[in-house]
Amino acid sequence: MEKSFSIPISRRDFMKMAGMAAAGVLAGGSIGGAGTVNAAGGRTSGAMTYAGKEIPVLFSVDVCVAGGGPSGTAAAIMAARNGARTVLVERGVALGGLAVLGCVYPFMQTHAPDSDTPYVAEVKERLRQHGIEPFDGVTQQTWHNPEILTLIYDEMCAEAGVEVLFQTVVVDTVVEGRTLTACIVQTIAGLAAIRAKTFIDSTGDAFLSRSAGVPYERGYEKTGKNQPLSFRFEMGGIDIDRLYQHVAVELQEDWCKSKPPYFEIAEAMHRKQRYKLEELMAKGVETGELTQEEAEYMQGYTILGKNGVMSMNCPEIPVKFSASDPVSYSKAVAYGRRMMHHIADYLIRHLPGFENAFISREAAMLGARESWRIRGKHYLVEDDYHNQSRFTDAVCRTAWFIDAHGEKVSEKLPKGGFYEIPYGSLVAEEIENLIVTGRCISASFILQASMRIQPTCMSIGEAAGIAAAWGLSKGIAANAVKWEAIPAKKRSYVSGEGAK
Amino acid sequence: MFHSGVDWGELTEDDILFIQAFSIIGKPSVMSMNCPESPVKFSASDPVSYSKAVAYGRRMMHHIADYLVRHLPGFENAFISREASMVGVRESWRIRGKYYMEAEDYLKAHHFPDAVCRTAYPIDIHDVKLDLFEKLKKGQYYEIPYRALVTNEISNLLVVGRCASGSFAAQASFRIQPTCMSMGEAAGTAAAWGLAHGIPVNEIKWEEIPAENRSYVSEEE
Repeated sequence: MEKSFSIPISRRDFMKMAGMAAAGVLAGGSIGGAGTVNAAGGRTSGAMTYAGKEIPVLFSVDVCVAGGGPSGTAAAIMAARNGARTVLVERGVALGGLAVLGCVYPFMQTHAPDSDTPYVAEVKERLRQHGIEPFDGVTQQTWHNPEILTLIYDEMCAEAGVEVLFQTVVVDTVVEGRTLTACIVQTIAGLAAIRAKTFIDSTGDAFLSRSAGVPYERGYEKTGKNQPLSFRFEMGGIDIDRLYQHVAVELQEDWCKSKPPYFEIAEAMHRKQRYKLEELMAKGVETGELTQEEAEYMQGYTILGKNGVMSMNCPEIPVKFSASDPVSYSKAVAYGRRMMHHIADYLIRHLPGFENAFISREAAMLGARESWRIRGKHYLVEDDYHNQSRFTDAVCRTAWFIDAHGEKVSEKLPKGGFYEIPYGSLVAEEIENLIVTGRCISASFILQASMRIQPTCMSIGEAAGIAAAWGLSKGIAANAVKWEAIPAKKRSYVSGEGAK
Repeated sequence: MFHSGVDWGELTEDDILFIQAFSIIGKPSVMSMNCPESPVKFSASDPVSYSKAVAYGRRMMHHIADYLVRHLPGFENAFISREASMVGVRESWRIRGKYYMEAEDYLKAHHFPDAVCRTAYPIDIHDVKLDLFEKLKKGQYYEIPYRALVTNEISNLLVVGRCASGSFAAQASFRIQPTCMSMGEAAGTAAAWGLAHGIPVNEIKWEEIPAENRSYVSEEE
């Protein structure tokens, strides 16, 4: 018998409650009546028992991707395009993760030559089609537009036939031996299960993996602390011309080589490099308008298609707050929000161009750089960066520096240099049908500080989707797939040849 | 202006059903758009339907925004500055609690000794075919009783906001934010009171809490 979320109720009772005498069109609801768009159209695939209760199995598919962020969206789209019936589970109401919900903008650049895998290149091209030119003419940062980007992701998922479940969170997994058979999710209606043949962990927090018994670690082995969180936001009403005049001309700040509409301001007191805006922020500490924490790091980027708006890459929340502890994280939210307002108010009072500015948007999620990482088949380490490691099963390349805030900031690799990320870092011995993507792949804290940037995460997800579909089509377990055995033209990246 | 948009194919009938905007204090030149309203075929209580409503609504949002930018004076240099981080749900589920609010409570302007707040917001059902209720006269109001926030089944549970105990029609009135805030305020007060006095929340008589400790005191006492 099919189970769903419907609460049995007679039409008569419903009508009585609505105060109507005659039956008419009903205003939606979980009844599954005519005219509603819901799961009762045969999509529910039975029920299962979980924690002593019967819950509906919402989907029984080929691939289930947990997390609709940069890597998860890529994985879902590529899995679907390669023939897998795919469900993508996202806890927010928008795809794009930190890029969209977290206000992490722009995408950083890999510094590696030819690193854009086809999916990354396609996203840039779709931005162009929507009137957003992501290339600033100088760097390889990707200047997108968060609202357009999430629309693009909706379009790509719809075209590929990905079934997206919004406002849905993975809460548990069901494991039999070395196989993940289902994930348990909290939907708007209640608990449900999703069965799949292969699962992709794009949660960023390695939640699926940890729940299923894959070994993991968190934080820097020397300090036990995670990388710091940020609480990003956007400010509107900025006179960008006036700001540019002040920073680039009056203060003669020259490190930002790109010009409006691609303009960036910054200061970072802990760095060796000195910035012209440091004095302004330091003065705020002297007058008591800012704390040292609030003055420590301030950065803003203009956003394409949003004239007068800048994406602020601050505040950085003190590292005593943890990205992997719910109580600490929650305190970081309120603490970060207070820092945000202090910084914004200070800029409005003192930075030319910001006279009529205001906070136009807060992020809908904190900017977590590092939380948990799995210990998978291959464990990437710091030496892989310095030695520019190459792998036959490489899924992408990067040369972003080791960017561990407050701990270690490495030198850049020589021009043209890069290291690769192997498929082996995406899979684990313990669970055969699981692929892990994004910032929580198998890597040390220090190496992760380099591989965690968005284009790399997107490329990793892209490869995971391809591998997931490939494995299913060949009857090969996800953790046994040899990436290098997939025909080159089907792979998003071929070591020795670069991105296809 | 909007009907032309439909004629020219820039908008659909769904897009123009309801368009409303409010300026935001402290955010000069920003407006909060009270649209799009998703077609009622999408359900607020079904995860698959709701998910489809998200993508559908986002598309509507962009159509409406692009149209306004192209055609409404004042919007020439406008852009979408922010999407909501959650879909605007008016009604999803409601409990059956100790007291079940109904349209009659609004229509007859009922007052209760255990009232936790008052309102006169009309029965606001967003469906033209169901918009059939009379409005109260100026100065009239009805009250929400404490018993609409508690249940027979669970002794230490309070339910507040849009899912309190009431019919679809009654909820269409009591769902607005100030009313929900007041319900929550009363629930928090009662929760602490019950714990301090050893009374399960679903046995508390709101009217027996000293007036100065209550967030609302009905004239009905």
